[in-house]
Amino acid sequence: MTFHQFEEQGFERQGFERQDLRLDLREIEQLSGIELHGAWVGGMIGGIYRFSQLKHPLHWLSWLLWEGITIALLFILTLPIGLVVSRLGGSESTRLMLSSMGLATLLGLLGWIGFRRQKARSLQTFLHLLDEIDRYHAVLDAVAVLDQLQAIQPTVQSTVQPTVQSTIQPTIIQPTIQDAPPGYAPPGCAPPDYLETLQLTRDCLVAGLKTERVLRGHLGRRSQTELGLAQLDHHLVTLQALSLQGQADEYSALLTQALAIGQSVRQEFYKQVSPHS
Amino acid sequence: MSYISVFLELLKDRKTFLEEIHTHTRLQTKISALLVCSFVCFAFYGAIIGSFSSPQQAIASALKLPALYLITLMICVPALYIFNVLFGSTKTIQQHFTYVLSAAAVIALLLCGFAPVTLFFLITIIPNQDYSFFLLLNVGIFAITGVFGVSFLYQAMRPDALETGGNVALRSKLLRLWLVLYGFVGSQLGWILRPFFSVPAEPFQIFRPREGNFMTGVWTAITNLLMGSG
Repeated sequence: MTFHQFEEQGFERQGFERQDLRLDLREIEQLSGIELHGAWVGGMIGGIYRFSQLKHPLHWLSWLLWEGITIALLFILTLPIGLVVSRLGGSESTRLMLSSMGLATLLGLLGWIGFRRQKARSLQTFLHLLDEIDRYHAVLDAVAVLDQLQAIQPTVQSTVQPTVQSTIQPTIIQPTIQDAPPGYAPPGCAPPDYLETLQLTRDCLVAGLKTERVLRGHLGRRSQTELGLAQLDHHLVTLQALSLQGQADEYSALLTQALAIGQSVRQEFYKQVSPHS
Repeated sequence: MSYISVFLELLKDRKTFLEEIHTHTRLQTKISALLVCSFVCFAFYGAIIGSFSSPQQAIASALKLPALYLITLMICVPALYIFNVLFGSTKTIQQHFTYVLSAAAVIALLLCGFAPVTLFFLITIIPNQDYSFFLLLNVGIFAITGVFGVSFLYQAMRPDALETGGNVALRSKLLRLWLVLYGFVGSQLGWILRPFFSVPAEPFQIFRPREGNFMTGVWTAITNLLMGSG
């Protein structure tokens, strides 16, 4: 077996582990009990839009298009009201019908906006958690890039400071078994600390999703809420301990980000729980 | 734009789509996607047939055609739900609504499929002379798409023995009756919302004056035809 094949096996193994670390859509839906589709939370009809996802003008355009369709849909559904009013209208029935439909649409739209604002308020913590999950996935992607860089350049010390958005263009070296440094561990076996840290961040997010669901549904069920918060605290303490070990490599910046995600989740919950306790 | 993928799932993998409705999976997303995409497809076809008369008629028909299908659906779903529950169905009203909306979506997609054909004739015929031909062409298209939509709904909602106990035959009969009711309500609403297109020489009007109902209209047309007066 060549060193290259040995490396590929390592990639596959690590790829599998990282797949397990991701929080997929179905899992988030199961944990939260809320349907997600694209940037919509809870469906387009009766749900809300994640405005944190509107980063590109095209996203804005898409959102405006859907909102326009919703208004048109609302307008046509007011037709029965228009028909009832037009019965009373006599010769001016068509004008009266259209005016009443326009007014009903306007009132419906105001009610709709009110309903969405109310819903957005009740899902504030959940929306924050979704943003943190996005950040966590960005960290996972960045770790994957670092792993690949380390794997193809085992002897080269990278001087690039990693960030989530970093665009690193590696010089691809095809190593052979003779190039492997003594004691070199393939990526699948490489530093277990960061995998543990990422797993803990994931656990933080899962505990957060579970606790948010309890809080959203039953504010009175203190025992479950307290259990969820205790879990969050526990994961966070372990996370902090791991980060204090102070890794001197490129992963340290990403581990700090993972810790920041965990802290942010905890902070959000305590902020929400404190007025009720 | 990812809602379109949900809409297309209905065409590609109908079995899984219906199973997901049966198991209550992602119903909110499905309802949103079906409602919005059906609206767009109906509006598109409505605009095409309306443009036979005038640009104003195209806009009016783009709103009237989705209204016809979607309001008919909303009027008829409660009756279907109540009768089904009365005779042993365990499905929720949300599931009933999704099933019926799926049938409307199938009709909408089929209409969109026929849109190039309609557009071709719209471009090639002489509007003032070939009004009757265009009318019959559209009656044919609406009939074909309607039959496919209704048979889809019948297949999707046919009750199984596991769910209903001993009322399978009765509920199948009820479903057939409901489909007839759906057709009646739809045709009456269509009669109220007419014209969807008219002879281009006629002035634009959003709605025609109320006169009779769909059945009396059909009766008048048949007697006129038999008496040779038009």
